Amino acid sequence: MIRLSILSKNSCIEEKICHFLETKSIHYYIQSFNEKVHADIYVIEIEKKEDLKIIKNFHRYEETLCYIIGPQNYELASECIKLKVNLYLSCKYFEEDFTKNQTIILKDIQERFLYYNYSSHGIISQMRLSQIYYVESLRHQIIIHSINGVFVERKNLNIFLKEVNSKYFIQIHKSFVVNKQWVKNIQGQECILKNSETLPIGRRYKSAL
Amino acid sequence: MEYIVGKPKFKTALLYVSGWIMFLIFLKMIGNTTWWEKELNIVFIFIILVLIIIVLPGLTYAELMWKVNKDVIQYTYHDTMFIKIKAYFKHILRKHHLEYQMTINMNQIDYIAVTYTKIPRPPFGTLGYDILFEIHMYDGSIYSFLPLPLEGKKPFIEAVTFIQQQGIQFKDRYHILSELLIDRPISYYLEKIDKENTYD
Repeated sequence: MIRLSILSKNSCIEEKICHFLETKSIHYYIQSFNEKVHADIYVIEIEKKEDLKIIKNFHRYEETLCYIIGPQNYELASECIKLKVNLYLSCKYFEEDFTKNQTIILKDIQERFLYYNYSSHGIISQMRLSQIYYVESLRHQIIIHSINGVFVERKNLNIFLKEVNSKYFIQIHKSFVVNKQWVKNIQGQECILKNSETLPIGRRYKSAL
Repeated sequence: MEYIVGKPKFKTALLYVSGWIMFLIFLKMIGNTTWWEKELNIVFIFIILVLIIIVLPGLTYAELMWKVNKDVIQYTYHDTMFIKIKAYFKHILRKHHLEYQMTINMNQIDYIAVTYTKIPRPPFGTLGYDILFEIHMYDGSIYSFLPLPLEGKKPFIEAVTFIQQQGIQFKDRYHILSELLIDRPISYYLEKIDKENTYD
C-alpha cells in the first residue's frame, strides 16, 4: 500500500491524483501531511520561495517521490531541482502538465515501490525491495538483511531471485545476493555497502558486477 | 532490560520428563522377571526415547516466542513439532545460528496496529480468533505476527508496556489491549468484534 501525502489548498489536485492511481489499480491511502509522518509520495503545492522550507524539513528515503506544484517561475523550478524534487508541475496548467507526465509518474511508482512478500505460519511480511541490503544463503535458508532488521526464510537464492525479479538484485557470490542500490564501492574481491558492511565477491560472479 | 513472551521452560520440562522416566524405571525395578518382560524392554526403551525426543522439546517451547529490548523485537514461530525438536536440540548442542526468524529494529518502527485474525484450530480445523500485530515501518514495509502465546498474558502485557515506553504508538481500534487486562479469554471478545464487523 502506497502512502500518499498531499499538501494543497486546491481539492482538484487531490481528486485528479486519486483518480489516476485508481485507474492504474495502484493501492494507496492518503496520510495527512505532517513532517513527522513518513509517506512514499509527497505532492506539495507552493506559492513562493519560502514554501520550499517544507521540502527541506520532512524525512525522505532515496525512493521517496516528491512532486511540486507551483507557479510558472524558472527560479523556483530550478531551486526545486536542487532539492531533488522529482517533478515540478505548473499550478496554472496542472491538468495538462499532469496528463503529459502520467507515464513518468507511473513508471516511478512501479519501479520504486516494489515489495517482497513472505508468508509462513504465524508471520506475514511485506518488505520494501529498495530497503533490502543483501541476502545471504546458509544451510537451506536465506537470511534477508534490510534496514528494518534480519529475516530468515527456508528458501534458496535462486528462488528468491526469481520471485523478486528485479534488475537491482545481483548474485555476487554463491551465498550472497546484493541490492545494487546499496553498493558503495568494489575493492578487489570485496563489495562494500553503504551501511559499511563488506561482502565477498566470487570469481564466477565478478563479471556480473 | 529485556522482556520475553513465550519463554522456554527448560527446567519445568526436564523435571516433568525425568519424573516420568524415574517412575518407569521404578516400575521396571519392582516388576518380576518373567519371559514376556524381555519383550517389554523394547517398549520401555521406546517410551523413554519418545519422552526425551518428542515430549521434552514439546513441553519446553511454546508455539510462538518473542522478545523485546530497547534495540530490537525478535520473533519466532514453531509451526510443527519437528521444528520444535530441531530448535531444542540445536539449542542444547549450542549450534544455533539464528534462534529467531525475524529481528525488527525498534528505531525503524512507525507504529504497531493491533488487530485480529482467524486461525484454524487443531484437531478438527475449526476457526478460532487470535490477536495480530501489524508492525508498520517508516519505509512502508509491514510485518505481521501472532503475539499472544496460549499460556499467560502477564509477560505479554509487560512487553507491550515496555514497547509503549520506548515511544512506539499502538493503534488499537478494537480496544483489544485494554480487554486483555480483564481476566477472561480474549477469543470471545475477538469473536464478538468480528461478528459486529461482519454484520456492519
